[in-house]
Amino acid sequence: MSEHATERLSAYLDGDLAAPDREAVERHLAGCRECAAVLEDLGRLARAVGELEDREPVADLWPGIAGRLASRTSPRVVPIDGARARGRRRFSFTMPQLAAAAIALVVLSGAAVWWGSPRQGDVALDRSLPADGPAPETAGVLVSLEADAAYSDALADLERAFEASRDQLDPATVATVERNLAIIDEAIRQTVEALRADPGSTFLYDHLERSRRQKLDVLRQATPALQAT
Amino acid sequence: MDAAGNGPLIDPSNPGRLPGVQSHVCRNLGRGGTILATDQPRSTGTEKDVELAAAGDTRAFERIYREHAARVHSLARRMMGPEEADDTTQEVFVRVWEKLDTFRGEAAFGTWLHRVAVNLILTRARSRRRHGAWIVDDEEAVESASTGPAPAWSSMDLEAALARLPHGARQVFVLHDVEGYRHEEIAEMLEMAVGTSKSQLHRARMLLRQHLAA
Repeated sequence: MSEHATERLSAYLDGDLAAPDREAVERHLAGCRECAAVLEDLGRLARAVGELEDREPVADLWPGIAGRLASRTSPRVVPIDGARARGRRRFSFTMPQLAAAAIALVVLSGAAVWWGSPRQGDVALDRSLPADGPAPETAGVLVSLEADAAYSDALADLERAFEASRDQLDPATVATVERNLAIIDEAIRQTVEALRADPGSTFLYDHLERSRRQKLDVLRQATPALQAT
Repeated sequence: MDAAGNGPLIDPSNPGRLPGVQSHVCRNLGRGGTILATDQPRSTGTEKDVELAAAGDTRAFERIYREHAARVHSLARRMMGPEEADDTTQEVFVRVWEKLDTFRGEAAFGTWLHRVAVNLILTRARSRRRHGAWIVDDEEAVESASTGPAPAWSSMDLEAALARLPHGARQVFVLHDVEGYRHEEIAEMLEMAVGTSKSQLHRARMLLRQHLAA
């Protein structure tokens, strides 16, 4: 059988031929053992394909994936002013630059806590959630926040890096950074509280995300500044 | 289909099937192009994990990875070859993580993830060819295929035979016979004519027959 005729066998097998063509192929098959053998093999191939099973990768690929996720912004965290790119850039601030950045952040954070008065204590997001859990209608939002392991991991890493190089920075600058972190922590804590009362507020949710990013940015910017001194 | 893997869910010409969608045990070859099973949402647990992951929950995303790793890795292995499967799979899930907020819920999540995977794999394949990373060209592969041994017709041997196919024929075969895409869809994805897709499929089947026939 010619190559062209063989191609018709594939179409015949797939049911792609119109009735006249299908009948012509069937008449040919009745008298051509070679084409009948090809068709039989294609049928065997079809059965083998049908028995293919998906296999797990030999190695566990998750650790490598998780490592790459840690350096990426989580899906709903929309970068502000190129925050994603900044996250991969190494900063090298001078002390005056760091101080100026910190002062600017105080202004931003001050505006962020307009809805309530500041309270004492360092409040991280996960620790701020009550042990008895959120109301059922708020569970989705709050559980997702609690479980944001990428944020928690990044925060822990940056806090450790900042602590490790704290002694290399001017005490006044450290104090400025710490004041800003405290303000942001308070903003985060109050936003979580507000979300419990108003879980449908997209403003509060977005503000919480902004506050969290602010905290990461402060730590991220402060730590390379320490390394540069 | 768009870059995010979204696209029309129902094929108007055949409303009984979802384009390019089938379960991992349902193949297209010799079934008259009819898909016998679809990838429906598997559980509310998956839907919840998608929500959590889209909010940044990496533990939920790990559960998604565990559920879909075998399918994505098998697709990558068959399309790209075993040596590229691990890295491609990792890249697929990183891409899915980045695109979770574009998942509109119009298709089952597994369907959407599969489309993201196919798009990324085809992009990588085009890049490999542009940069000459694949040494064996089609003609060499054909010659190699025709001189190989004639193993039994087992899944393992079929997987090995697939890896020896020329890239173009392999892609069309996997997309059509294994993954259930129609020639029209494949032609769009691979930027070729429908007739070329059909001829590549035929070529792949005949080469596989050479490999597998006793």
